[in-house]
Amino acid sequence: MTKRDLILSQIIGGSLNTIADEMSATVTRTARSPVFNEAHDFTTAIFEFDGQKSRLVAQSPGCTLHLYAVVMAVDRAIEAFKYDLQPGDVILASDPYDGGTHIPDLVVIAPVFHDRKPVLFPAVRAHMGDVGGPVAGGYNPHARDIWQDGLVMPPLKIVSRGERRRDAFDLIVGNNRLAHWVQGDLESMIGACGLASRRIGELLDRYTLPVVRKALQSNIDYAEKRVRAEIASWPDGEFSAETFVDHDYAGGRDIRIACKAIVKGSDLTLDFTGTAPQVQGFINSPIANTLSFVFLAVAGCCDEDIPINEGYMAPVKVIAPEGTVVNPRRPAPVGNCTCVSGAEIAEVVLLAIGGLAPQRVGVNCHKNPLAFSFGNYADGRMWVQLNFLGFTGGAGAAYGTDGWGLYAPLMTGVTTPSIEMTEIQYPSRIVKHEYIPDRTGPGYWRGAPGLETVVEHLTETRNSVMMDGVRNTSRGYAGGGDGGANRVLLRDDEESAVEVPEAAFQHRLPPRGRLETIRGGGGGWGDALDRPAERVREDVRDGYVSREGALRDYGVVLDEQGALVSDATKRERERRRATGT
Amino acid sequence: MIRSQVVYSRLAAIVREMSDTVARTARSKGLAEGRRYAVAALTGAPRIAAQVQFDASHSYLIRASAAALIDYFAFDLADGDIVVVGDPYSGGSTPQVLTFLAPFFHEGELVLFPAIRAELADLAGEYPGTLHPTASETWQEAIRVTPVKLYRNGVLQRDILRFLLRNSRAADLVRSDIEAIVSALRAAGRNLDTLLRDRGRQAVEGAIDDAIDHGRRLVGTYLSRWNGMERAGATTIERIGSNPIALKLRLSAEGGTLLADFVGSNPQVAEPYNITRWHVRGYVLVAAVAEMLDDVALNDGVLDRLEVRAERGSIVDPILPSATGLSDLVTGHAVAGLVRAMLQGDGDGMAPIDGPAPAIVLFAPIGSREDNPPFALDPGFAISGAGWGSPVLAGHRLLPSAEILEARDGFEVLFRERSPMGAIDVLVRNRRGDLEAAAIVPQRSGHACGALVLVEGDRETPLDCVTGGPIPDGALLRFTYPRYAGDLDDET
Repeated sequence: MTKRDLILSQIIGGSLNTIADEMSATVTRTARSPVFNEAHDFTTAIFEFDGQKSRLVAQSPGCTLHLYAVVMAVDRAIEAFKYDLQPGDVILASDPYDGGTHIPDLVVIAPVFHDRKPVLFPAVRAHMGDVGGPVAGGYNPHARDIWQDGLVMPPLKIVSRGERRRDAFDLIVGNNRLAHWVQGDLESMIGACGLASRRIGELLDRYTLPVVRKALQSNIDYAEKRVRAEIASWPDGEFSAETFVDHDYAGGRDIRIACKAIVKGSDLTLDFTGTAPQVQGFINSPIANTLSFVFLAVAGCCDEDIPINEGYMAPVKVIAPEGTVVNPRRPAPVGNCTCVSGAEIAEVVLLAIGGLAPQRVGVNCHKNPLAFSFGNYADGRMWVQLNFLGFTGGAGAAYGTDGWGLYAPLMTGVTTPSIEMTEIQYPSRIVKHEYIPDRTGPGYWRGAPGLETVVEHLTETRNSVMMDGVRNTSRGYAGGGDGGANRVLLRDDEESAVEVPEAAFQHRLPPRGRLETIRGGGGGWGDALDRPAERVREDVRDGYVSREGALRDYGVVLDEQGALVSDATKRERERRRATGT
Repeated sequence: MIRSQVVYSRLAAIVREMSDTVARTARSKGLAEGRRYAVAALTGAPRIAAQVQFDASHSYLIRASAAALIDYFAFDLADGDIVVVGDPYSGGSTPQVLTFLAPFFHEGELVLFPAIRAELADLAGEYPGTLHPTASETWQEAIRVTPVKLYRNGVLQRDILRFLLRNSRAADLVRSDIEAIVSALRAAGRNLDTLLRDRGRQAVEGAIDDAIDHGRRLVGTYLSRWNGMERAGATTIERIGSNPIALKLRLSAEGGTLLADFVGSNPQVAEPYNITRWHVRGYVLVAAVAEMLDDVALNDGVLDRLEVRAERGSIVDPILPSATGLSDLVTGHAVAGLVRAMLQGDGDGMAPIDGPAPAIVLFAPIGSREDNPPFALDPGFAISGAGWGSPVLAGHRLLPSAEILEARDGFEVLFRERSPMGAIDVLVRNRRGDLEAAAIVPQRSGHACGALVLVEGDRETPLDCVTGGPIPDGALLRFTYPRYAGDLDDET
């Protein structure tokens, strides 16, 4: 490949990424639901199709956990309409057992034709505020089958040859409690795909299809080469790890997710054999979800400048036995897979890789205390709030850095909704949103601090809470301590509050009732006794760690004014090292 | 006139044949044995030209559902299309009942609509089957099938069918029932084509007009006995754990037309007792003309003789997304009972036609299998207020034989007798494996309408209002079907 070819492949790859970015901006600016326009719980991507299989060729940073889940959805949609795809068609899909993850994440896909054949597919994947079914909001902790999760949407053509297929579109909208949102959200997704189709058409006209394909192949090869180089830098070998999901909300406890990482040259195999059989509750992870979280973990171990495309996962082989939590059979419920089991899948992959390449892992994860509320606006229309502010935090440390920021990296691209917009879009007030001490994993590098969020709903609400990360908190790496536990309280008034043990189902709160979330911090990396004492003192000063916590977790002695007592600290740390306490 | 009769009879025969085709080719127990369907041929207005039903509740619902479909697909109906709707808020009643409409074209013009309205085995919702006694929203009961085109120009819309089947725990049954329905509609189209070729469009349309006129006159004459009547009445619908629901009615008649005014009735409720305005109309009609229904061809002339008024957002005209699943089992009976009592006034001679009874739907434990068709176990019947036999509102379902229940369905009938009190007692052993159930025993006048009890050894558990309750393998289900007749003509 000549230098000119390389530059051209960069230009074409960059153009497609820019088109994906423009799709993302379109969705943000035109969607109706705050889940889209404030929280950005969506992602946009472009796929190439060679007549057999689609390949991810471009993406825009969005909610990362959607990214790899789109891949399988696109293939299944193409398969469903193999002999019935026309220019101007738009396909909608969300079937966990047909390339999907959990039902609220809808995918909209549009084929772009060139010389009478579909060659590229822009796609948007986004989380809807509701998907019908038994429970508003799309999360049903009582679900025991997929139909109790919500409306199953196998690939359905909602635009045919450029013309809205009104009956199919209305069928989706009619099965949604938030018709006033979902209609606009779907239109924004369709609009984004339409815009991308035009841009891609211009790109093909300018460069021709063969040149574009060659450039895309070059980018895919480059990504694969970079990831292979990363894996090859790790020592050959095997390492097994396990994590546990706290519960499945249906009586199951400490559900095992097992993973063995096998590195051989530049190939990585992740084998989930030994994972618990699929469970009754709604934490089962369809294969697309499992692959997506594997991708997130692997991506966390690689340099961030590697382009994300089909080449990224080419060196990675995943073994996920059918009938287990990480690859369940229909009709197991899956509603909370994108949080609960997804978090554990990413974590166990990082722990397994960490056994071989400890300096490349860390910064897990998103064990969310998922709590959503719904109520009605004054005009009677329903609203659903996913309380994103309460999920923020929880990032773990990594080699070279403390855990930081408000979102765990698995949610990168989801933005923390502004408090002002939240208070405009919902009848709610954010009373508190701040770091709290002593709920983070200690380590040479510590996890992000714990976070307390208090949301007061001004009108009567119902609130469902699905706890996670209570017994099995975010794990530390390379000897770092585990993160703190999550807590959620539902408070009727000053005197009356209920702490949610595992789950709350549609708990009714009166006007001015409060949802109080304490988000545990992330896990640490490395031995906490090695953390420079001065940095521990700064943590105390910043309110991330208490004076007592500094002594307990780091062996750092501070006086009552917060000043470092160096000699005492040195003695305490030496004593602990000697005794192994 | 005779020629008109002959032509209309042929049309009615085509409708009956549609009905027979469904009964003989549908696979689900609900259609083949429960006869939970109705068929009709409609004009474009739409008016019912001829209708066959096995259950009073369908009376206005095919027309209302057809109207919703025709309105939705106005200017977008073509030869070979089959359109479908199954939504309480698009001309429907309870969820999971779909209306299939096949526009029939003759010489390029749209002339008639063969239609079939049928209850499918399962269309998702929280529990398999049609029974969810604690649902507060229609989405908990089943998916809403808003108007969709299943066939376009004769071509199956595979993605729409796939959508319906993926949202069913009984996909195989639903698929085969849909195929039976489509076949019946296609056969009706061919028969209508033959009829119109033989007799000509004008003669067929004239015969329909004559029959509708005839029906209108017959029913008008019948109803005219109440001309000048103005009566007010009320009743309540009782529910477990909540206050009774008030049903208020002013009934008047003029010129052979009955006006039922439900203004003042309870606002819609958060349980599935709500009944849609099209649905309630059917119960009023059947209550008013039950004595003559078997003697008159059911068509638009019959339906025209009734007007109903109700307030939007009330129990008899609820607003989306109120649940409506108990409207047949409970609310319709209360409506019909009230209408009969008011029409009777101080006189006598009108036997009650209502009579709610326990209902149970059984299924394999949720989540245990992908294909989980629900089973409505109904091994007995309430004794009608008229004496022997089931109430009119129980419909024309077939009583399952003990042999079939045992050999095919896995339920051993240990006992099915009239009790000393005149009720029907049935004891059934579950031999189908561990099951779960949704069940309800309707309440009336402070008492349960019969009883349904789970018997496990010495332990007895009433199943008055159950969702997802376990029914272990080998456990007994004891049904007591109520007796509504005051006096019995035998030695009991």
